[in-house]
Amino acid sequence: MTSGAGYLSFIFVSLVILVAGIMVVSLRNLIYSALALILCFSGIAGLYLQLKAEFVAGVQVLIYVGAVAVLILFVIMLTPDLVKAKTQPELGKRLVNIAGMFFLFVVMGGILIWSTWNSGCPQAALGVKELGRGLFSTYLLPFEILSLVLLAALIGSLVLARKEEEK
Amino acid sequence: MIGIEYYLILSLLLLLIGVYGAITLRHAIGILMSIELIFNAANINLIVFSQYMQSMLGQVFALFVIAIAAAEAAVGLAIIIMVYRNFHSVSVDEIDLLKW
Repeated sequence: MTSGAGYLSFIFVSLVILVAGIMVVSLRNLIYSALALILCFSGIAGLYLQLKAEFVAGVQVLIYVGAVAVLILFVIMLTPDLVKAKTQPELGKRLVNIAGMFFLFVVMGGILIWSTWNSGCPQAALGVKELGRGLFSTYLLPFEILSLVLLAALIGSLVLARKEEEK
Repeated sequence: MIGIEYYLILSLLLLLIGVYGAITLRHAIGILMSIELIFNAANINLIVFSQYMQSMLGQVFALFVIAIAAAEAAVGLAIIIMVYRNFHSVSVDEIDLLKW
């Protein structure tokens, strides 16, 4: 990939991510927000592909687009009153928050720009092979604990969302 | 290759959009979606550093973050459903039982 095409695709993908992200927090209808969230997640998967992290891109599509976003859509549609609920506060409050975020952007962006990054070009991409080998050797214990966390979350959410039995 | 700063600025912007949503939206599911945006901003950083440092650790960590985020979304949405069942509302202004 030439450098120009790389920049062009990066600009395109980041525009998709940022516009979709802004839509998530600014739209009034929650269902549209959730759909914009799906677009944002897909854009981030594209960014991972550009960074040659193919496996993480696949996981991003499977888990975020396929599971988390669909779960959010399900909950929005299971609770019909939610769609009509007021999501955005009055304009003044929003403007204050935007100003605060802009201030944070100036501060943190300034720190980012002025610090020197040892940004050598990534030479050989890290393949799925090394990733899998690492997950099942060096990082085996965190990996197994993570499955326990997922099991606990599964049972916990089932218990929480279940209807109370009549006594 | 694109400089590392561009990716970091992108993830910073996504983080700030997420923080803005989390402090502005009055709706519990909206806040949850903003938190997902923050998770993704952190993940972009992890992947970028992993690729530029030629280290696998960032990708492994990103996978862990994705799994934890999925667990968080499941539990969070279950809590929202339960709150909705009890209060018939998910506006965070109306759920103020613990406020004094």
